[in-house]
Amino acid sequence: MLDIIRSYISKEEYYIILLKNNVYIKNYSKIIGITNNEILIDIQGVIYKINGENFILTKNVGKEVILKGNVERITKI
Amino acid sequence: MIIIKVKNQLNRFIKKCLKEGIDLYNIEYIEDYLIVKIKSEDYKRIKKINYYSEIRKIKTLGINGIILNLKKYYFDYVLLVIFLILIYFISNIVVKVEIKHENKELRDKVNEIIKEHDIKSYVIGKTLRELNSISDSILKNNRDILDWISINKIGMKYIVSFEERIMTEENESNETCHIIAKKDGVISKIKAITGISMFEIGDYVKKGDIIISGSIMLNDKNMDNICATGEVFAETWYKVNITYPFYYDEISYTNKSRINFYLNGNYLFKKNYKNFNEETIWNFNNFKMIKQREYIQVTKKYSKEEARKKALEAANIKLLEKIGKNNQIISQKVLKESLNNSKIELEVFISVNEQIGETELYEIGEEYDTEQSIRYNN
Repeated sequence: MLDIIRSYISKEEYYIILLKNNVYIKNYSKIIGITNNEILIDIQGVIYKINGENFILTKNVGKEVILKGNVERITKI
Repeated sequence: MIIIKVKNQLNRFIKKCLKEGIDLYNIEYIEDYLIVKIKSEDYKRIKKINYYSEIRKIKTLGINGIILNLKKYYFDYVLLVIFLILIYFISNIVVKVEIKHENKELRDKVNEIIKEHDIKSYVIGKTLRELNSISDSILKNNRDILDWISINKIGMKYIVSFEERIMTEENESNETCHIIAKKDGVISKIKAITGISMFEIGDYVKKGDIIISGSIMLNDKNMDNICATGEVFAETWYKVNITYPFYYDEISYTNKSRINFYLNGNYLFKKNYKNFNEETIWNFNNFKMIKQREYIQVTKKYSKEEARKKALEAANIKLLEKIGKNNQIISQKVLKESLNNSKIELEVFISVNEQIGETELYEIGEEYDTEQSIRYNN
């Protein structure tokens, strides 16, 4: 929560963190679609496509989201 | 915050929540359902937008959860509190007052005194500070009989320990006395605290001889008369006849034991052990919880040497019971020995280091001879 407040105050840019089996995205605008092997996400007007497998949502609070799964590729559309 | 369980259409549920911007914390996917933590205020909205999923509240967290839990288990919590209060009161009740002192009269006296201060059975126990204050007060008011007193509450008992005040009165009487021999013997130790020693170590004394004299002589002239005090030990001799049996009973415990209850002279379970010992585990007035251990009794026989050894030990004990346990056996010798089928009979000669000094009063001016061989009280 404090992270979110801090990011708003400091006008923090978005970021995507790739972990071993997780993707952590902060300051996203909107999740357009989520399936088992593809995630479409709008981050500050740019749409990103994340490909991989076994994607599941594990946390979505405010403007941060954690997705579990094996990420293979991230592309800007 | 609440934890909910969602079944059916899980992907649709997630998408709907994301679309509506509902925060989802810690989503756990378990087989065909998921468990997720959400804000309490989002619950109704989630139920509304996800009408196609089966959503059930599992647990409420935080203060709301505690309040709900208290409401749900209200009766159980009230019972628990009553139980704890009862335990507190019961554990604070004193069921016994134990006064530790060997003098029964004084014990009774102290018991009366402490009862006045509410130190008795079946009352609520006092705090340490109160007990200390009571001890001080009792001591202050009973200086003539008490030197020190301490009252402690240990478990459900009061333990009262005290020290008796011994008033040492100076012997101001004008009594005059000698220490004389109460039996024949060879002196092994002589210690005159007051008075004049008339014998030395190794001297033979007869019954009645003055060993420490209260008459202080200087150049054959009587200078003073006091009460002689001191200790005199001498080697003395005894003949002891003892009979000791060859057969004796030995007890050996079996592995059988059981718990039984005893009330007013009756056992709860009938006595099915032939021989058993009892050990009280718990006692409340006439009600006892006891542990019974079965044993078997076997008759055994001593060998001749064992019986002889036991007989000699018994002879020592028999003699010391007669002359006092503070005396010391020096040696023993068997004078006569006879055996029959069931017992051994011994006549034993025993030499003992024995206290033979005895105080005897005398009148000033009473004539006595200081010659060692002439008895004073003949």
